[in-house]
Amino acid sequence: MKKRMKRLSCLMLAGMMTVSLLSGCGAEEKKEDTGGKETLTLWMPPFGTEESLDKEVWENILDPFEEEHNVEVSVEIIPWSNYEEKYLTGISSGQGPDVGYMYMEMINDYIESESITPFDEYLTDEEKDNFYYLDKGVIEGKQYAMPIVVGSARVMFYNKALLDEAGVTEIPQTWEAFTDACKKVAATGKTPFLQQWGDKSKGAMNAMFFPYLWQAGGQIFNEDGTEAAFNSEAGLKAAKFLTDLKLKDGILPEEVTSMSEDQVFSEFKKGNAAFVVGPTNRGAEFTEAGVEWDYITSLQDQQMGTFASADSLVLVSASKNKELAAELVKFMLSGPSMTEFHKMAPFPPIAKDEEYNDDPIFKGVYEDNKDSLITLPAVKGSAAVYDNLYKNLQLMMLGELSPEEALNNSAEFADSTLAQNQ
Amino acid sequence: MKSKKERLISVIAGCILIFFALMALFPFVYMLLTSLKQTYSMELDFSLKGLSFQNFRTIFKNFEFAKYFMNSTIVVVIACLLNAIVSSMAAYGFEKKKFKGSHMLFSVYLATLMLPSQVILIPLFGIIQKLHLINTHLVLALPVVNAFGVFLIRQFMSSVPDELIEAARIDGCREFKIYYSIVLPLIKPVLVSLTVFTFITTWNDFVWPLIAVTDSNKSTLTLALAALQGNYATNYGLVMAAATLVFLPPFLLYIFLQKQFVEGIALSGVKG
Amino acid sequence: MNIQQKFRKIRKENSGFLYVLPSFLLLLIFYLIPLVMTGYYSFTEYSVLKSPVWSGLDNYKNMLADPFFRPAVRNTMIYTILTVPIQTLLSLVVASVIASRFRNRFGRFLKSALFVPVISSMVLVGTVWKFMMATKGGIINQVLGWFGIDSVNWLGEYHLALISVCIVAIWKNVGYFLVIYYAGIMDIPASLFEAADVDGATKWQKLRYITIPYLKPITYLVVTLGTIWSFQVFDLVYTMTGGGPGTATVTMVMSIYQSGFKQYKMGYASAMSFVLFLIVVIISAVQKRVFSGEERSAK
Repeated sequence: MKKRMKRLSCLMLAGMMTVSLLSGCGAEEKKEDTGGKETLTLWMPPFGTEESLDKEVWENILDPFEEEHNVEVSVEIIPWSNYEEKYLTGISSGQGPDVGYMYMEMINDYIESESITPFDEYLTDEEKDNFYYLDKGVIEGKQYAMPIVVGSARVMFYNKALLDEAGVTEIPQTWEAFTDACKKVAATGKTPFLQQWGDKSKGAMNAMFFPYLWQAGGQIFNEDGTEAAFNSEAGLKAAKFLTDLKLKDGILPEEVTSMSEDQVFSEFKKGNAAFVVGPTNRGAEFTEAGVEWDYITSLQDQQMGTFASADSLVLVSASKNKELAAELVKFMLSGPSMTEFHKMAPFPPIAKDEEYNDDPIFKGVYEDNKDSLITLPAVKGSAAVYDNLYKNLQLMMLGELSPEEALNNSAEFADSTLAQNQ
Repeated sequence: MKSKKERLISVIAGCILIFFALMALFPFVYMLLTSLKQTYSMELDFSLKGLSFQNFRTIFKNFEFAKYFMNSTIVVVIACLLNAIVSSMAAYGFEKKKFKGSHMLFSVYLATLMLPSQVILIPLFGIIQKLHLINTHLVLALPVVNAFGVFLIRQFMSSVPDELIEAARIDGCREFKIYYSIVLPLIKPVLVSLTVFTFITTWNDFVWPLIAVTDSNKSTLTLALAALQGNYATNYGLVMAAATLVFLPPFLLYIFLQKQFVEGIALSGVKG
Repeated sequence: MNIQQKFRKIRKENSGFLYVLPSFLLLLIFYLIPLVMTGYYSFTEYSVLKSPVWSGLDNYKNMLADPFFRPAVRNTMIYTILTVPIQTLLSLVVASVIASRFRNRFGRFLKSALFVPVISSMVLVGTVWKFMMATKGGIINQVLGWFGIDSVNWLGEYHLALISVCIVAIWKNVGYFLVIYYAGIMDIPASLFEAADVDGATKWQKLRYITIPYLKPITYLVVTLGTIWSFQVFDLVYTMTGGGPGTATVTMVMSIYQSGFKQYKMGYASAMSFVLFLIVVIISAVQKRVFSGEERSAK
């Protein structure tokens, strides 16, 4: 045993030395850099692929800012899979960022507990005038959020080659036409349509359910955000449309209930699916994969309609230097920074000082079809409602609940949750 | 002298068991093979063409896995040392220096073994927040020191003869010296076993780091693997390279200290 | 005896506690106090961002009405009922076959191989198996395809998803319990078997009347440990399915985590934690009863 112990300790020692060599140099450098400087922390979600690392991109963008203000900005990329909990644990324990990226459903809890601070006093009128979408970040009359990603519209991509092969000459616009086209594709033995019903994130509904709800003329909540409205006639119609696609017409294959968004796109990239719905910024990947694709902004029932995001930067109240943090936000949102950011994550511009850099093919979405882009309302307690709705819809797609049951169960939960939050 | 029938049964049983063993090992082979391929498809091909360490280079270069590896190592070292010292002292107190209420206290210890640790996750988060321990290596190690170590060492310590301690006391040996120069050397095997356990649990721990670490600079390797899987789910080669890295240290430890693993588990079982 | 002497005596008698103290402090801070606090929070509305507000039994009432709490309890129960007996039986059988037929290099190899899953983390196991169980292109369906069997939607079907998770859990746990059982079998005095041989006992009789009764304390341990592990299942579900699809694989700990850290309802999550705690206490008590009761009747 002694011999073995000796061997083991040698091994462990060797391992530890290698690791300290690998990481040692990096760590020391950093220490020297921060000496005496102020530090700001920035939390962002990932947008890039592993080739264009988010962290690197942001660090490059922020270099001039760091120099000008003699400050060190530490960028952290928070994975979507534990986004809510990271912000909760970080901010509640004073270990959160100075500036963070939040989506609308999250923001209310932080406003209520005064964990984030409005930007109003840090913005001049001239600066305000520059932005297109500031109004989307106004909550209770104050500029709590500075929209950074507005757009990322969920459009319907299609594979031209597969449609040609199936003899679909006219791109479907209505639900009926869509179902017909899918049936034709199915007849060729290819997968007509994929959705990510196995995705862990409730945000999947932005591509899978809400567009159809809106197209049918429905709404998620009533006007003042006190009651659910998705269990209306329109909601039921949308839910039936989806369940029919899977359970009746077999257009959505069985495996969609275990597929994540990434898997759906990876199938589309391999040319295995004719239609998928996804954010415009994924288009570049499809081109890269050699897929001949085009898109329509949305299908149409009573009207057109699809989801567009309105995610924002927020200023955390616990920040020691809010002035500088606000400067950082303005710097990030300035034309040159956004141009760099949009090279990695192609989104439409958010302010007048940036040219349209996204794939010109999507210009139509953001200019011509602007009115059919819908953002989620900032309703108190809505995060829990979406969570519940998503699970019920998943059960519906599995055939465990009827569309009526799924929507009514969720509406019941929504009404009681919203009432508690009043 | 085995009958023919007996031998046949042995052969069949052997075949079934080999199948089990292959089933147990196959996922790891799959993981290793995939980690060496640049692949966005899950299909396994056994061709050895195009194998490279590119994925490993990527996770070290672009994803700072060296840092996470270091964090995991530091946490594991702290946890192992702390657990060995604190638990062996407690076991000594319970077994060899019984005090008023020691029986009752020990049954409290045993009861906590039944407690699913997730039950206390929420208040625990509040407590370390107040103690300003969030994002420290120490806080990741502290909850590992629990009743299990005390229980395990106490099992073993019962085999240390009381006469030995008595004799040392008569010789005028100071109390604490009895513990560290007589008892500790005698229970060395169980300390190794405990260390092995501590290593594995700490290295593989997931829920607690998930809550107690908000700064990715303090992230552990297991946590980093989960994040990578969440963000780059279809880059199978890359995810499997990270998984391999998480797998290797406990695996190497197991290969070298197999006996201690097995003895530790057996000890907690047989005499429990 | 003067006071000083008395004091010294008390100190000497209780000096053992000083050795226990560091460990006890840690246990107090990291187990006992939080347990009491869980109880307290369960009667409050609490989001961590703000201080808790007393809300009486509201959380417990909400739990009864919550359509997702019931599936969580049910799934945890099913998970326990599926994994515990199978892994217990499987490890007992494999251990006794190795002990009776393969006390050699081959046997040692088998034990080592089956132990490898035990040392790897649940996150890793979940990640690898998730890839292997993928409906399209997953290695398992690929192999089934060779035998002309249609693709199975392992993680995408309502009832099958939970079973798939159970299969992985059993795969991971068997090696651990196997080692415990093997050690136990080796501990059985050889003289017992020799005496049985003299009496002309069959293999089955030896198993029924010697091995199984002798291993009873070990079986108790294996069952109890397996049950506790089942009630704690989280990492595996988190990486494999995230609780989905729908509520198909939501477990109690998963729903505690989701309500607490994703929906910021810490009070409600604490109430669920407390219910989980009570269930574990009750089940442990019942198991203890069953095992010691049998012992009494056996005597």
